[in-house]
Amino acid sequence: MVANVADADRMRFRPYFALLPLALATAGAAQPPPRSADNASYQIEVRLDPAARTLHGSQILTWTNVQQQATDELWFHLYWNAWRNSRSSWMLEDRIRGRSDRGERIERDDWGWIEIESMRLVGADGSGELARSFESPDDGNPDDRTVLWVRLPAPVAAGETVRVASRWRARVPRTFARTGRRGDYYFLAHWFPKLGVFEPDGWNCHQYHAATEYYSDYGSYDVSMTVPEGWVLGATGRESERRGNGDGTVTHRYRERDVHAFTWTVSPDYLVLEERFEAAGLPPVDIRLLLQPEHRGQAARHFAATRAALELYGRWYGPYPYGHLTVVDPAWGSGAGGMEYPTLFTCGTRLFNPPGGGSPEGVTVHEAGHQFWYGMVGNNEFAHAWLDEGINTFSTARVLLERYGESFHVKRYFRPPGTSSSGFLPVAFRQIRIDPWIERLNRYRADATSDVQQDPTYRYFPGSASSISYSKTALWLVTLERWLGWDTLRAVLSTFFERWQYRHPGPEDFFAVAEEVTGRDLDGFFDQVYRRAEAFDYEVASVASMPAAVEGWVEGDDGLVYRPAAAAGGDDETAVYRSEVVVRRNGGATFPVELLMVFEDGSEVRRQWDGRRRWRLFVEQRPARLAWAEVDPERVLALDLSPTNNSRRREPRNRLPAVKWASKWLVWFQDYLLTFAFFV
Amino acid sequence: MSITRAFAAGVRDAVGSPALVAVLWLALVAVALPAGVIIEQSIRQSIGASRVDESLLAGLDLGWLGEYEAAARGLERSVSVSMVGAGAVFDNLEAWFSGELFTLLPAAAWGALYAAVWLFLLGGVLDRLARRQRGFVLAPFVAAGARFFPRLLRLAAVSAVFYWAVYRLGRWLFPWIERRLGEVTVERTMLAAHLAGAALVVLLLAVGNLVFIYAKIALVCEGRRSALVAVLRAVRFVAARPLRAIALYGLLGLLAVALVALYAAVAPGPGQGSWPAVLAAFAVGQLYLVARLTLRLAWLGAHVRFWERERLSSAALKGGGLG
Repeated sequence: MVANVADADRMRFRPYFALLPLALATAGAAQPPPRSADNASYQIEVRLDPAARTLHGSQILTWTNVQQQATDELWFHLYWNAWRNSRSSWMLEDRIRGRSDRGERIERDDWGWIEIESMRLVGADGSGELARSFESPDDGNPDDRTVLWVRLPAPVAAGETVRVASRWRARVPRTFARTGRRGDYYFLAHWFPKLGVFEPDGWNCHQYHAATEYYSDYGSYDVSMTVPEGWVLGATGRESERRGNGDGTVTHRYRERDVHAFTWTVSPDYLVLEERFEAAGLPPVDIRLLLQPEHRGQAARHFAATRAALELYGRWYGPYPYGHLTVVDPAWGSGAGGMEYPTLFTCGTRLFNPPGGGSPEGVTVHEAGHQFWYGMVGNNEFAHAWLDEGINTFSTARVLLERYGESFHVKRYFRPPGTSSSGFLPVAFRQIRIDPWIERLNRYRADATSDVQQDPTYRYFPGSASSISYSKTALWLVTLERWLGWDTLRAVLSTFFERWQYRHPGPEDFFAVAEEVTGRDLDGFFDQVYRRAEAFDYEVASVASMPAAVEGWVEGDDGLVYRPAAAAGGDDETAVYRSEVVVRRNGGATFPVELLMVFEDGSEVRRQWDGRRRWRLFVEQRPARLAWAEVDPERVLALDLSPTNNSRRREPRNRLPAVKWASKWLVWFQDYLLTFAFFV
Repeated sequence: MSITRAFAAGVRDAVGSPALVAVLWLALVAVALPAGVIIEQSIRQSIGASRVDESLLAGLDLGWLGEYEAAARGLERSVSVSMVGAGAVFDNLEAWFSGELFTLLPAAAWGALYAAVWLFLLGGVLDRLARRQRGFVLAPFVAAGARFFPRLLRLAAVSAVFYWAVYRLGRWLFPWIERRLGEVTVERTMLAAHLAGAALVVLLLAVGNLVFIYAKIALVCEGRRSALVAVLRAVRFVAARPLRAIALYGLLGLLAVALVALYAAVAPGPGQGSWPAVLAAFAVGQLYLVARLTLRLAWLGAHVRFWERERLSSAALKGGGLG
């Protein structure tokens, strides 16, 4: 099927095309060589029409074939068509995961789309419109228009470059997937026809899926955005030029190199605050914070969290080299918060957010951290989202623990009934501290066996995809940290970072680096956590301790002799006790574990077990009874779904804690009953 | 009668009736305790012989709680982080405001049982307040409870329709506010709008509650049998003196807010590690509940006094008997 070519507004784009030669000339000025392959570069002119909520754009894509084989086709992402109608794959999957990303009813005016008006080769004599059609390579959905296939008139050989000029227009949706508008607030991501990635086995250009993100080649971006005068604009890169157009609009030109996307935001309301990050041994970074005015009092917290990420990620993995970073505090209700883009990210806070409660620090550190894992190490998020999301989730928790310690529990009250809003008024439970790994485990538990991590992310069940990508990976990384030590794991991650920055690593690349750096065969571990969807659960199933010489029939000089209990040792000080501990593996996954046995005289015994069989009996004979036993006492295996059953006392002590927590519940329940009685 | 005198009389009645408060508290404990035993056994079983007992005595072990919640069924599903400290009260306030008090069915079933018990007690309480009895004698209290229970039950059915309608309104109102303010990008504005909506919902709940309090008084103190007639009389009563009626209700409401604030300040956290500490924390919770019951009694007493005085004044003005 050939894409619709709309002729409307075609004329008004000619002036923008006319500017492109100038842009090309400027871009060609002397610069240091790119860090990346720099093979997918865009020069874009775009105008925002707030009244019609549309973008009118023209672009020239310069693409170099860096593979060994030729290709006579190009594949583009048209992400915004995911919100063209209710039948796109994104919308269908969003429904499957049991929630609307929008969290509210979708009105006619809320939809968005992108339409190509023209697409031609630049400089090719006689070449007309390029033949093109919508394709659905992942699921064959005929209603999905998020992938555009384009036929080239001639193959592009290895090392050759083509330039493709296109004109397009797009309708800005009311926010889906953190992209869109609300009021005069615009957040515009994945907004232009964007090339897929040509790989050794062909084009990698997936449809847009509800539970996955993005994948693109690195390149240079030179983007001119025309917006209403007086509005504040933030974008990937640095502003190189700003000019008034005399018609109430201003054109901002931003440029950046060695990035794989370009995102921008514009709003008349932003406060602009700037600070400079400086830390010994790391390059300085100018941080530009675009803040909602009502969050002015939280500016220092945003800067501090961003600095923490830049410093600790920089020290652990490698420096952030771009020299600038834009931090966007999205508008209330825009749904644009918590997302990463090259040299720009959105965080998100609330009017009331008690310090120490983990917000906005958590989301700020996480999205700043994505500058490293996603921005600089550009894995394929359609297929292996766990690589960046998991490593980054793990790293975020480490930064937060190191800089802020454990946060406390915050519950938000005053949640308007019938809406998807979270509560407006936070109440801090300062005595309830949150261990980030336990929090992850609680999120992961229900989804532990839902998908094999090795499967392409876009094939994960949409409702549990984030558990597998974020939580499972973070948990197996902290397991590796506890197993191998932080220095070793940090060396693995920094080597992986250094080796694969500005490239597209896959899972096997990570595993290879891990084995190389640690000098260990970790295949068994990765087999368990990555190639299988089994649960980890080790349990101390039983403990017993009895006199070693038990009452009963024993072999004597004259054959079997009955030995009474009194003669068998009893409870006197010289008695020896036989202690037995049965450890079970309840889950399908295996991991080497340690068993700690603690005796009543305070002595300890530690035993190792490869954890492969379904159960194992451990026996110790000592002059004291066993008090308790615990498998994996150091909680190395953070993926263990049920830490409660890891330990077992010979004599349970559950009465007092049960009464304690039941009595607290009872006070709640009595208050509940009294509240109920309000109505009668 | 001035509202402050009614207020003071109500508080005096409540504070001067420790035996009655004790009966109300015992009834509350009697209904709640079996559920508490179920939860205690369930928690004990969940802990088993694990060493998690240590972390549960030191504080709240969120890892254990996560496992417990994952396996929770029925009433167990109401065990949550926010049962700590004042969170228990805030949770219920939130559920009262949003109407989600009724959504957790096992708890709601228990709530319905307690509501029935409360209705029974209410007959005795109002009868006693109307008769201005000082001491507490169980037999007439129970007899009055039994006598008035059917008519109070009918009134409860009428009030249930009203409250259901208010919550339906809330379910429509807040999404409507969000749609109307769909282009607003400032949380402060949205909060103000929702606060206005909440004020409306709470006002409707309070006004309805005010009317139904007087309707109960009409049923018991005037011996009316028809719930609808009692409601009509209550409406006429409030309509004749709306400011004073609402002011008295508001004054008592302020006392309730003060009580919640006080409890929020002193509510025990999660750290009790010994029997004395656990029992002391439980006692603080029970003191709060006793205070809440006393306030409830004061609430009823103040309204009964106000009702009686106002009716007497009306009768005196008319120069005849009670109308």
